Amino acid sequence: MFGVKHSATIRLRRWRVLLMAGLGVVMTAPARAPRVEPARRAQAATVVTITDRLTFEPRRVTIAVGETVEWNNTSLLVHTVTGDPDKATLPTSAALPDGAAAFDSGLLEPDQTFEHTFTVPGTYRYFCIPHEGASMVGEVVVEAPGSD
Amino acid sequence: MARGAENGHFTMMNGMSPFGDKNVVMGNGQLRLHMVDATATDAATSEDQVQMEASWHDRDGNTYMVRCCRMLATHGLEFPTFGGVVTNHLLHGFTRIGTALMPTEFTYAGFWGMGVVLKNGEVLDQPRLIHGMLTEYVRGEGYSLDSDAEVTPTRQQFHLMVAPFAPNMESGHFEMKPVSTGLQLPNGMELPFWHVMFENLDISASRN
Repeated sequence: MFGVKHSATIRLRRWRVLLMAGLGVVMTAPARAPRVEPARRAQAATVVTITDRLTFEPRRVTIAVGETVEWNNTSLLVHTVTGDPDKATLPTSAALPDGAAAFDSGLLEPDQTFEHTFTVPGTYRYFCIPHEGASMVGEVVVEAPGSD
Repeated sequence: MARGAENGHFTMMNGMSPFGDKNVVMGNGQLRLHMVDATATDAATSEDQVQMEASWHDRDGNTYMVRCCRMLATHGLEFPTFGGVVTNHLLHGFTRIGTALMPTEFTYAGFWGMGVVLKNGEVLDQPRLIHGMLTEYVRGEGYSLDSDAEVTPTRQQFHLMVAPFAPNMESGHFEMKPVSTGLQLPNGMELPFWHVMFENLDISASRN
């Protein structure tokens, strides 16, 4: 019964668990500073909006080699923009073209932005680390010069 | 309320429950929790421990907070509580430990106890049954609740539940008792429970 104390304690093992978190009913933490790559774009970036619905909008963008994508976190939650298969727990969450370097925004606080310039053509699949289980993924298609 | 099942059917309920797909995002959430699982089974006394404080804000700047546990549920009413804290156990779903409206989920650590519900520092409701659990990921695309077949150990989630029912020690059952949360829904009704999900967790654990 709740809260009634008598005797007899069976002690098998003692586990200690410490949890720290922050942000949201669907919540996340503002503990670590995001890494925002220096702007290297030569022209206006394609903008992807990160939403409270745990989506990247648009989910798929197409750009030319050398162009930059900017992600804008309009959500109340902390998110990441992670194009790194080594940080994914599902094989479908991230993929890079051959020769492309992985990228990761780190934790993006509300209203923060992240930019990445794509120099290798191909299809990039990225995800949000805290919400990978909720299928929060996006794609950037980078077209080579001369492709239609 | 209807909840999807993996065979394509739905679990239908006459009333509303805290276990649907609808959700609202609230910011500035903070959670600090320390749990000790020293007593493995339901017992008359327990050496389990929980210290938890969770808070979040609405868009108007109000702060909602839940603190636990003034008293642990040393043994269960309709299901076992493992001395108040449980580690590495399946809960919900087919286990019948807690509601079956949640999918069966591996729980790294969970607790049941009596705590306090506050808004802007003012106590709104106490004592209330509070349940927390650190589990595998149980939400899918659109944050809809997974069926058993969809639950994955991809990431961890912490669930905080201030349940809309209370233990009746005379009948030995839970009885409906809405929680005074202080959050008004768009239809004017006060939200009668808290079911809050925390993600992006820093977790440390040790075994003595």
